[in-house]
Amino acid sequence: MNIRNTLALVPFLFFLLCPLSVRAQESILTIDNYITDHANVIDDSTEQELNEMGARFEEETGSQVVFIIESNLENPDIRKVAYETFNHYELGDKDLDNGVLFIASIDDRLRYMEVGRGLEAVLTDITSQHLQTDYLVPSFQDENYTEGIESLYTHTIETIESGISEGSLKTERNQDASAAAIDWSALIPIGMILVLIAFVAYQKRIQPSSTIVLQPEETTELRVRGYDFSQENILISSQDSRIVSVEPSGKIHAHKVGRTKIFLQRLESTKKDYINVVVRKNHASTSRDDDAVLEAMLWGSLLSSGRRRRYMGGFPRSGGFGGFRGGGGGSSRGGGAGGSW
Amino acid sequence: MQNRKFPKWSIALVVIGVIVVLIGGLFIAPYNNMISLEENVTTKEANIQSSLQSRLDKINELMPSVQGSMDHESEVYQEITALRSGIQGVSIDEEGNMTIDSNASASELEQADQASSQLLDDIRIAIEAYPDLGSTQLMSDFMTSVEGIENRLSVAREEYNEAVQEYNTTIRKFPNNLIAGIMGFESIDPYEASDEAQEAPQVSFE
Repeated sequence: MNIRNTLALVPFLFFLLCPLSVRAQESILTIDNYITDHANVIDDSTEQELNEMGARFEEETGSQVVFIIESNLENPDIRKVAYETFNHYELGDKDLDNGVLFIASIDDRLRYMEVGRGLEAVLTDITSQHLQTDYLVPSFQDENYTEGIESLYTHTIETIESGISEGSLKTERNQDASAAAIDWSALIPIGMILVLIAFVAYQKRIQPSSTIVLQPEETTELRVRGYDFSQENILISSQDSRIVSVEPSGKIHAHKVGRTKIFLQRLESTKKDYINVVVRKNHASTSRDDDAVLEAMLWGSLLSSGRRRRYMGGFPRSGGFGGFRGGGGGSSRGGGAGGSW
Repeated sequence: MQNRKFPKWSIALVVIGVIVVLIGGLFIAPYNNMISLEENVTTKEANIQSSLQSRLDKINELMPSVQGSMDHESEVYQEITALRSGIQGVSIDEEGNMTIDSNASASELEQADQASSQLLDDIRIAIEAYPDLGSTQLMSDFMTSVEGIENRLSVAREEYNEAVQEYNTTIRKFPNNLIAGIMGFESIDPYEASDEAQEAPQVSFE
């Protein structure tokens, strides 16, 4: 590749380096499992038991009940942290919106439970507050963290379950495939490529006053738009027949290195066209270079548009071993209750 | 050196194909995008409306007991009555329950937001000043509920304004602005809650 083609590639490389928006990370906590104990205050056997309970509950109902315990929070606005984390992971089934996220920060003595939209009828703000003050706060005040978490977790699930059995909550989850809409925006790069291909290919046809490149001792037949050598009588002559010589049939022979012109004139017409001829040795075919540029542009635009589309979809989800495997697509609207202890 | 001659029909085909694709990419895609963004704004506005209604529901719930225990001559009572009677976009039924009109515009929602925020504030003052209005449990439940509602409302406002900003930016950028002009997409004003409304009412108890 020579310099001309390398330079042509550079602007397309910029497409690949499209800056991606990164959101502030401090408001979003990491969920490893249904019980995510970053403060290490819960004993392992209880943690495992509750994780299994959470996994089973999700399988039965699609509801994801996640508890995160941190030693302290970088961002003191626990409501905001809960909201951002909940919606980042999209907890709960996407149709039922039945996720629950409870966060406790030990050093800050802050607690908050974020409730998905679909559960607001059963886990009202007041209910959620009562659950916490009844089952968690007393134990936490005595620093019995394991007991508090276990009690709150089981009673939260119980509350949701009774809501389901009383019929206050929807339980049907539909697996519908979303209809694929025609992605019109992907057609722009393809359209551009097609235009370019058509343009380049068209350019390769010899037009009057374009340029032909030949190698020494090469013979070729001249095909020019508007001049049909077999039908008409065409006056053809070479400016310098030492470089290129011509025959009335349209055949031209290149002899030695140099530049010259070939003149064309139809007998009836007064218009004189000419073709530039350049004879040089060992010239790499221009068509291959043009193809390389086209290919680079094609890949550049396809890759960049694909990548941009993928990142619009949101962050990748974290996965755990056989445990919490990522959100189900649910959302919350900031509903919940919390406090201190 | 090759001279290439394209049959006329293949050139015509490529040209037609290119035109179709360019129309699709340059017109249909941006237009559809602007439609989606506009719809998103409408959805977020509905969220504000539903959160506001929750707030009104809370006020409706407390009204009977609040009005029952208050001194009808007091300033707070007068203000409550005045506020309840004339909020644009909100209708009151015979029992005094307030409901937001389903086709309330964004500016009517803003006014209802402001007025109901003031109402909640007044109720808080009333509850603090009249201890016989309820037990401590009731007051703490009231506080929990109000905080939850206010949080939802502020989230709804934020999301609405984000949606509006995304929509406005998109229709103003080139070349979308040309399409927007032809198809009649107009800028939307952001939602402005008053300063008092932007802070969740602080309910405190001595």
